[in-house]
Amino acid sequence: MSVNTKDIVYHRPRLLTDNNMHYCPGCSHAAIHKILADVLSDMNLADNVIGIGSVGCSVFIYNYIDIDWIEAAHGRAPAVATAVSRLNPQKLVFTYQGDGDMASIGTTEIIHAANRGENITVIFINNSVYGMTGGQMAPTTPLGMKTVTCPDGRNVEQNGYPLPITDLLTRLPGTCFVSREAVTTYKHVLHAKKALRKAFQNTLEKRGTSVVEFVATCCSGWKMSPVEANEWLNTRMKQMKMGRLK
Amino acid sequence: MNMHNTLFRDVHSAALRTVHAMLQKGQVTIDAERCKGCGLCVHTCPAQSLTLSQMVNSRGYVHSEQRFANRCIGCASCALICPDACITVSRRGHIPHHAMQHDSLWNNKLA
Ligand SMILES: Cc1ncc(C[n+]2csc(CCOP(=O)(O)OP(=O)(O)O)c2C)c(N)n1
Ligand code: SF4
Ligand code: SF4
Repeated sequence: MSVNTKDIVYHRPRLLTDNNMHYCPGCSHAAIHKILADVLSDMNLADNVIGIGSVGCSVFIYNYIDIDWIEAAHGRAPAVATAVSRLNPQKLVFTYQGDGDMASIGTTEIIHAANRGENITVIFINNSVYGMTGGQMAPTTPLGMKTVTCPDGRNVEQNGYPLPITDLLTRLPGTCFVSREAVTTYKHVLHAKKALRKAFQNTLEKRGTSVVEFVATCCSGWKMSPVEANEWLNTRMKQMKMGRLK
Repeated sequence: MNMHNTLFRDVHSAALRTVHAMLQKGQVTIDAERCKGCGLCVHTCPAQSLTLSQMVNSRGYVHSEQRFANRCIGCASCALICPDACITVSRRGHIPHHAMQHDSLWNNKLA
């Protein structure tokens, strides 16, 4: 049966390139790339945006979303974004960072950029582990979660408390919008799209730093199937404050 | 008697198939070569319209397929959840409410 283009309800976002993404099956990174591409083309921003990639599994993001990219050194994306947004005030500048990148090696950069209230959007993918290097514990790993570097589960005596970096950022006067999203059900996907749109709008209106945290899955790091990982995260999300935090 | 039964069954199921096809609300096209068989669409589909195939694609992944097309309600849940954007959904009838709220679902940029 041939399909009339007028009848199309959902199609692949125009800004995604034809390359197959290298992510593991079910990885949240891919789902987030998809909605990012969707929002950018919905807002007609494709020619007016500069993305700052980071180190982690998403390091090849420039192969997948057809906009201008700069690849920053590990953790330094907010510093690069500061320079780029100050030199190109007419452009929308955003960073895309994992939790190992932003909440660990790059803590200084994000805290200071947000505190200065730089006009950038920060997309923070919190999958609770270092995915790329093999699923090691990250500062954001919740207590009790097993990883390759805390095989008995994270405990306070040995590993300290998880770092609630997004909650810390809400306390800074420089941030104008902070939201916690997910992509584990279609409802979350729709909600996340709205949040991203709002964040980009704030950045275009030069209101300060916008942060969109995605609680994400890393099926390989967590050693779960994609469906199990999503279900596990859905259960964990019940104990978290989701949606707009500031 | 037996022959009558079979005949009845055949006519009956052909009629059912036609009714089902008429009631079918949505249709899904899956890019099997891009699919990695994560199974999230199969799990999320409210109408149990999708399954994972017995076949693998050229990259060695089993892929999702729409085995029970006539159950599809065109809600696009599968396409929204698909990480690798392999799914296109088209409608054959009304569009569910949540799909209408979703800009890119609605503003057809292919045209
Ligand atoms: C300066 C520096 N230190 C360490 C590394 C090794 N390294 C690569 S990726 C990574 C962690 C990435 O984790 P995360 O940001 O959570 O991204 P994910 O892979 O989970 O998406 C580390 C430590 C590096 N590439 N550069
Ligand atoms: S290792 Fe984890 S974060 Fe990296 S691609 Fe695989 S599932 Fe995604
Ligand atoms: S559009 Fe909805 S009903 Fe149809 S296959 Fe996808 S999830 Fe199932």
